[in-house]
Amino acid sequence: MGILIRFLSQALPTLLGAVTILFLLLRMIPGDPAQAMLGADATAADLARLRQDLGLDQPLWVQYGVFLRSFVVGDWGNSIVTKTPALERVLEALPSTLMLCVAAIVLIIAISLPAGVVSAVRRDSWVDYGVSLVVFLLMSMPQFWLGLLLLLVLSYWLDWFPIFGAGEAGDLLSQLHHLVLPSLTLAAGFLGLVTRLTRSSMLEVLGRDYVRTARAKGLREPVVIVKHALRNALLSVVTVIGLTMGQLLGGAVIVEVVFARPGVGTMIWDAILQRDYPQVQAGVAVFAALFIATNFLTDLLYGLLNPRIRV
Amino acid sequence: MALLAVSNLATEFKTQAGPRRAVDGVSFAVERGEVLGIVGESGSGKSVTALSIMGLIDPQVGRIAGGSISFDGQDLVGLRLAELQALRGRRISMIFQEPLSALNPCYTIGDQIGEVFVAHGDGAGPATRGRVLELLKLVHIPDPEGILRRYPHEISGGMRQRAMIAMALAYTPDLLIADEPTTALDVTIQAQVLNLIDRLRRELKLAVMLITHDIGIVAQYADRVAVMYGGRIVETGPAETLLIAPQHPYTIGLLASVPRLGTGRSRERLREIPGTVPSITELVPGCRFAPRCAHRMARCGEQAPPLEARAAGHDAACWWTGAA
Ligand SMILES: Nc1ncnc2c1ncn2[C@@H]1O[C@H](COP(=O)(O)OP(=O)(O)OP(=O)(O)O)[C@@H](O)[C@H]1O
Ligand SMILES: [Mg+2]
Repeated sequence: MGILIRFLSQALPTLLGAVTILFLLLRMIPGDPAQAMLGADATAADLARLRQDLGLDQPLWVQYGVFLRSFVVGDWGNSIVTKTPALERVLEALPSTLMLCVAAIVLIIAISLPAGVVSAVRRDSWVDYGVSLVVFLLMSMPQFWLGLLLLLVLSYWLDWFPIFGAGEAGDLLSQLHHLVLPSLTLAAGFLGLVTRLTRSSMLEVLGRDYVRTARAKGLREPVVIVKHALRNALLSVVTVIGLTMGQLLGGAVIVEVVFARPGVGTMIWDAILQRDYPQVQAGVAVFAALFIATNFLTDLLYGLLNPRIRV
Repeated sequence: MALLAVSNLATEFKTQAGPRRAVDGVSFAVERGEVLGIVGESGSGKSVTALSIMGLIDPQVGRIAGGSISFDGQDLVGLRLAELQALRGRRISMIFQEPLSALNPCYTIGDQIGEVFVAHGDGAGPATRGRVLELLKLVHIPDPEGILRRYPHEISGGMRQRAMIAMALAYTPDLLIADEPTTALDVTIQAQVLNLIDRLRRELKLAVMLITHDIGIVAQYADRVAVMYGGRIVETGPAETLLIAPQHPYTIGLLASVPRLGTGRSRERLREIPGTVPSITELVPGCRFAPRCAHRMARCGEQAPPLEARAAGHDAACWWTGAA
């Protein structure tokens, strides 16, 4: 019940705001959609007719109303290039993108949490310094550059990983093989952030009284560190991982393009190049919805993890 | 032989100026069934002494630099971590000043008490649950079944401290270290909790180290008293004689700042001794209390006075002998 109220009061308005901004942005892009759709050799009459069909001759607020209405009823128009429903194409490309994002999150959690915990527990040791150095390198490297570097070394020179694509449909092993470099590249930008955050929250939590109590009870160090310290440190780590989801989705676009990997990102990219506005609109709207959904889930997860705000 | 015999304990911390001693040559003993009150102002080294006994000085910032801690014939200094862990929570337990921060906000009271049994190899299960319930009854928690499922923030400060005590008593330890167990509590709750500890030590024959900065509490509950100042014990003796005939000007000052023994809090009144406890980075030559002492003599600033007998079992570290 409380969840429903929170969903209605938080997620829905945010989604509305996001599609409104999307609407305005698309109208601000220089160039005439009608011209782009019909090509350079279209006649003035054709252009005028198409503008009328698309409602582009109406005042902006009318266009907005029409846009909202069709958005709500799920009529998101057809791709100009393929003439198929735009939303359908997005949903077809979505699993590949989700797989990439989930793989990246799994990598972030599997690498950053242990690295952060170890460097906090062994602070000022060589392990800690080593982790800090790697974190520093990762955080100062642009994503596309790292992606290209990995491609060059691991795929082109060493031939360990495929250069592009997402793998054979139905062949999980091939798909995972194709997933390694893109997800690593996508994760890279966040590994540093999450490691550093885990380290600092662990350091803070390790100094808390209840950690001392845990030791005073005779608990062994692994239990003290994981059950008592990490559990509390996770509260802030989870929030930040959730908040970086937006950037992760944005990063997925770049990674998909660099690795020529089919997905919503490459689709939006191609659609932009082809001035396929309905397609861009559908792709970005689904991304916005995903982003809002992850934030909402993060909130729920935080509530589950923290008994003090549990309702 | 005493259950606990601390001898010449020195505990130091890393500071910018190099290692500095927070506890500097402390010796005392606690017998079974006895309450030793350790009293002194904030920063005098009471908690560091307690944590040293527990082996809980964070090796990243400090270490035991010397001395021995003999517990039931075994020296705890230099003991392997696994051996210390086997003692903690089982034969030596500790409760802390602020029960809210000393309990983990993410776990229920039942879980946190039951954990002691798990840590010492007794596993979780219905039997453990029964033992936890018994402990909660032992410390007079009303509705133990309900409290079991509560999180620390959901119960009152007094209940939290009772839960902490229950946790500390899981295995009926030989030694209970209570570090300012009631400072964070209301005066009425304070008395309840202290009476509880007193009752338990009689019923369970616990040795208790009762740390406090309230000399009124010491007067009421301790058999023997050690007064700490600047990381040293400046006076020690049986509660009756020490409180009636204090020898050290610091003890006299502490007592003078309490208008009537055993009433109320003394945090403000303790400040009536002018000045403050030196920090561990301040190097005070000679007697560390000298800068604040009304009976200061030239010698005090040069030579630290040793603990010397003033009466049977009653020692003081002071060059001034005018109190006798
Ligand atoms: N981890 C630490 N690092 C550096 N110095 C410390 C540390 N812990 C304690 N000290 C110092 O040791 C001295 C004694 O501290 P301690 O906590 O034992 O005082 P206390 O007598 O328990 O006082 P309180 O009544 O405030 O609890 C203080 O000067 C304190 O600053
Ligand atoms: Mg203390």
